[in-house]
Amino acid sequence: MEPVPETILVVDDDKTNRNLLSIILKKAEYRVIEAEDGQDALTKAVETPVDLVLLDIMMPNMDGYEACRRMKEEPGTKDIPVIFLSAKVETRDKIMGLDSGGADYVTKPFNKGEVLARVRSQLRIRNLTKEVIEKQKLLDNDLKVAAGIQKSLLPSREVPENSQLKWAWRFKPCEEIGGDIFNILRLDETHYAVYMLDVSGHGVASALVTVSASQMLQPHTNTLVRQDSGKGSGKEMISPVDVVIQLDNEYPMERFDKYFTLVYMLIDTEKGLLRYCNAGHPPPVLFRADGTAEKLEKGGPMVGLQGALPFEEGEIALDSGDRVILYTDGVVEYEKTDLDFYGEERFNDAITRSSGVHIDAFLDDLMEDLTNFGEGAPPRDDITLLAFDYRGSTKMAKV
Amino acid sequence: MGFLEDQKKEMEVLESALAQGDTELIARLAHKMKGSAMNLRLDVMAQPAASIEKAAKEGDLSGIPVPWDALSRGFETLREKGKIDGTRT
Repeated sequence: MEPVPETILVVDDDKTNRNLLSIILKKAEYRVIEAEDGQDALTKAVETPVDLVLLDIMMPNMDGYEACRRMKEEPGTKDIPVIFLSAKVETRDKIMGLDSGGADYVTKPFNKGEVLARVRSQLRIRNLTKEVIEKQKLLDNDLKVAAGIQKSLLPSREVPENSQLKWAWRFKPCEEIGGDIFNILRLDETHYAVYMLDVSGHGVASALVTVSASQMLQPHTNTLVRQDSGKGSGKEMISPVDVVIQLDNEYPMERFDKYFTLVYMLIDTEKGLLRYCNAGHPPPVLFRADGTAEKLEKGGPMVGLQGALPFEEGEIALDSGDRVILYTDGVVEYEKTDLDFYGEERFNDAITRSSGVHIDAFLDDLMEDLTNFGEGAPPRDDITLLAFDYRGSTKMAKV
Repeated sequence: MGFLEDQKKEMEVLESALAQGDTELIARLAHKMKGSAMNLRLDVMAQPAASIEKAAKEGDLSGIPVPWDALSRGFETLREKGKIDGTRT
């Protein structure tokens, strides 16, 4: 296929100048269109796709500076490189030309070779820029698709509920594809596991680690959270601390150059027993029906140090009406302006205010509080919140 | 850049601040290190970093070598287990 000649718009109020430039450019196999002043140039640049503009400065109707500024304001013409061609030789004029958005500046009387060399150079830059923009578009699209896939790993709206637990969550991903993931696993009639995980960094690598870890934590395909008891009496729940230790061995920091923080909880709904292990994650809050709050901090460091520091397990007896709130640091580190964070204090206040509020309304209020605080600042990190209410064991309910 | 490489750099900066005896800088660096270690629950680094910060704020240079030693050992423990040789980029 013949390469399409590039189109150059020559703008000059002097017909002789236009003709001369036209001849030079056509000889160099460019396509040329002409305009006789700034206004005319704007019209023509919109009518015809133009690859470059050679622009005189002193012209009637609209001068070159103004024409250039307007072209740079229009989305359709802003990426077209403009080379000023002018008899104005003062440095001040060149600065004005470049400040109005010009890419280069050639003084008259011009040298034919120089004009052609500068045209080639600007077209080369423009083509490279175009390529980069195209590639970036493809990448952005891939990232959008990837973010969609990642989101599909979050629990569906219909979490297998039982009468003792009520779940709710909110997830607001940051613009980049992020590193938060959480899930609720129903292990059997009376056991639920819930985890929240935050991989260091953002981007594709972090997202892929979340996918990998969430696969590891699938009870149907893995023995990480549940295994055969060997006594023929069904499945045995793996204790939270052992789940974390296994992950810590499975994901050494050097493997993907990533680490993650994690809270893993195992809930026995019948006994009202919550066992958990917190691996360097912001501590979940246990908000009791009586209005007291407790941080769930038992655990150890983040996952990835291969047992360098010990992990321990926390155990909590849940009462009917207790609420547990898990979150990632994207909540408390949500930044309005530089170093103005939402912070733990606001977060704790929001929880304290929520006494007696329905779990969905509570999370809505919290998200609203965050939004109001941030005044529309885009989150730099995923914002993830998950809460559940314990409604007592079935035995208690029957009484 | 991995976490341990970041920490290694911070340790080196802190070490040179110690060599210069610049208590203000030591306090600032130790404070930062304490914060990131606390976030990730790396107690072996958070506690000595806190002690260094405190001593530096009080201008007590003689109180620094002991926690600095603990901090170095704490960091080495993590580094060995994380199997980062420090030369990887």
